[in-house]
Amino acid sequence: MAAAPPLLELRDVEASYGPFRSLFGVSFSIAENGVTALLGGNGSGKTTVVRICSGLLHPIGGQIFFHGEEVTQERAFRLARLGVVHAPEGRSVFSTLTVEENLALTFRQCFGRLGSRHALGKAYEMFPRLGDRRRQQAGTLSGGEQRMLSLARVLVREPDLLITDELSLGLAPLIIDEVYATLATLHAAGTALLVVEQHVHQALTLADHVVVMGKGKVQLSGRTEELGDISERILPAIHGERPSGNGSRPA
Amino acid sequence: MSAPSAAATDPAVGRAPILQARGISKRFAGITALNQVDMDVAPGEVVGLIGPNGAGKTTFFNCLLGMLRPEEGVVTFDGRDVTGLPVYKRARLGIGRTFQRLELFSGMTVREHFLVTERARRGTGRLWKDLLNLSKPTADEQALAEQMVELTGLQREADKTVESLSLGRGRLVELGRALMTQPKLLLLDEPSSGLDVRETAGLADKLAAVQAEREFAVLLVEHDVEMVSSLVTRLYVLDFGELIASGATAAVLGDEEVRRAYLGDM
Repeated sequence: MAAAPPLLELRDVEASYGPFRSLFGVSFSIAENGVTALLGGNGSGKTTVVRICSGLLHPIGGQIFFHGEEVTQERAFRLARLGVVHAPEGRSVFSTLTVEENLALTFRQCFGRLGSRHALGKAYEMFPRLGDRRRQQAGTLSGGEQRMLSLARVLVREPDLLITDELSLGLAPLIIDEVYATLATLHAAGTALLVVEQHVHQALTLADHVVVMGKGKVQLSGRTEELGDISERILPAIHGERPSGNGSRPA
Repeated sequence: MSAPSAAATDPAVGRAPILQARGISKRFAGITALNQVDMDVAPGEVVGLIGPNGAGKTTFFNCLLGMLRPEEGVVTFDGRDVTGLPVYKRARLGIGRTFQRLELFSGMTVREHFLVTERARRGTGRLWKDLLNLSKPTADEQALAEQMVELTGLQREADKTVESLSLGRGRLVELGRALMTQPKLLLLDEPSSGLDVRETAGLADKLAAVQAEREFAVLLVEHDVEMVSSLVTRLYVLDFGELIASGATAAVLGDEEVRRAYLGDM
C-alpha cells in the first residue's frame, strides 16, 4: 500500500515581491498531525513561506500540495475552506467593533449561530482578559490584548493545518505559556502546526520537525531529535554560521 | 521585595528623583486603566516596568509623556511639575521615548533622522527654510549626527532609507533618534518586540554601553525577562492598573504574586 502523502508539501518554491526575489527553491513537508517549527532571523523568508502556504502570496516557481492535491495557485479563501488557517503576525482586529463582535464575526461564519456561543465561551476560557473586555472597542485594547483577540479568532477552530506567525510577539510570559498550551491541545486533537517563532526554545517544545530559513533558502531541516542540542546545529543555522558536526540536511 | 510604596525608601532613590509620579489615575469610558500609581526614577537609574498585557504600562507611559492627561495625580520631572505640559515641552525638558511599533519617517535615511532631530532639539526656527529645502545642515549638526551613527553602529546603513532596514536596525535608529534629543530620561516601550535572541542581546548591550557613557535615566517596559534582568536595577509591576510590587529586580522577579500574575512557571 502506498504511503499517505504529507499534509502539506512545498517543492522548489520560488517567490518574489515585484523585482525582489525572496525565496529560492524552498522544499519541505509537514506530516498529518505533524508540528514543524519554521525558524530563522529577521528577513530570512519565514513570513513569505507562510504567506505562500496559506495562499496569501502565489509562488513564481515550484509546486505546493495539500492532502496530495496541487494547490499552487489556489486562492487564500479556498485554502481556508480546505482546512488551512493562518494566524498572521501583528494585530488583525476590527478596531471599531467590540471584542465580542470581532469574535462573533468569525465564529458565526465558521460555526453558525449555535456553535458561535460555544466558541465564544472557549475563547474567553483561553483568554480570560478578553472576557473582561468583551464590550470594549478593540481599538482601545492594549497592544497585547489586541494580539490575544486576533489569536482567539483562529485558535478556537480545529483546522487540519494551523499556521502561526510570531505568536508570542508582544505577549506577557504567562500568556505565551497559555497560548502554547492551547497549541498543544489543538495538536492532540489532530491539528498539524506550522509555527514561526523568534523564541526558538518555545517552538521546540512542540515541534517534531525543524526548518531553518536564511537568505530565502532552507539552510537546515530535519527531525528535532536528530538535530541534537539546540546550540549544536539549530542556533548556528539561524545565525548564518556553519553548523558543527554533520547530519544536518540542507535543502 | 518591598511593598509598592517602598520605592521611595530604596537607596537608589535616596537622591532627588529625576521623575516622580504620584497618584496617577486614568480611566477610559468607565474602565480604570491606572489607579493611584506612584513611581520614582533617580537620575542615571535604569528602572523596569513590567506587567501582564492590558495592565496599563503603555497608558502610564503616555501619562508621563503628556500624550494622555491623567484624571488624578502629579508628574514631576527634574523638580518641575509637568502634569499640565504638552508633549513637546516635556520632550524639550529632557524626556525621550521609543515606540512599541517602529515609528520612523519613511523615505528618510538614517542620517537624516538624526539631523532632523538635532534641528528640532535646537529649535532655531528654520522650519520654512527646511520645508523649501533652502538650508543645509551646519557642520556642527552633521558632526553630531555622525557621532550618533557611530554610537549606534549604523555606519553601513547611514545613507539608506529606513524602509530598507531590518526591524533590529530600525530599532537602533529609533534609539539613536531618541538619544539625539539628549534626554535626561529615556522611556523605552518593548524595544525587543519582534527581534530574535541575538538582535535582542545586541540591542541590550548597545543600550547598556550608551547609558553607561551618557548616564541618562531609563524607564524600560519589556516582556523579555532576560533583557529586563540584564539591564535594570529596580522593577515596578502593574496589574489591572494597580502597582502590585516594586523593589530590587531579583526580589520582584521571585515574588509569588508577580509570578502568579505575570511570569507563570518560567
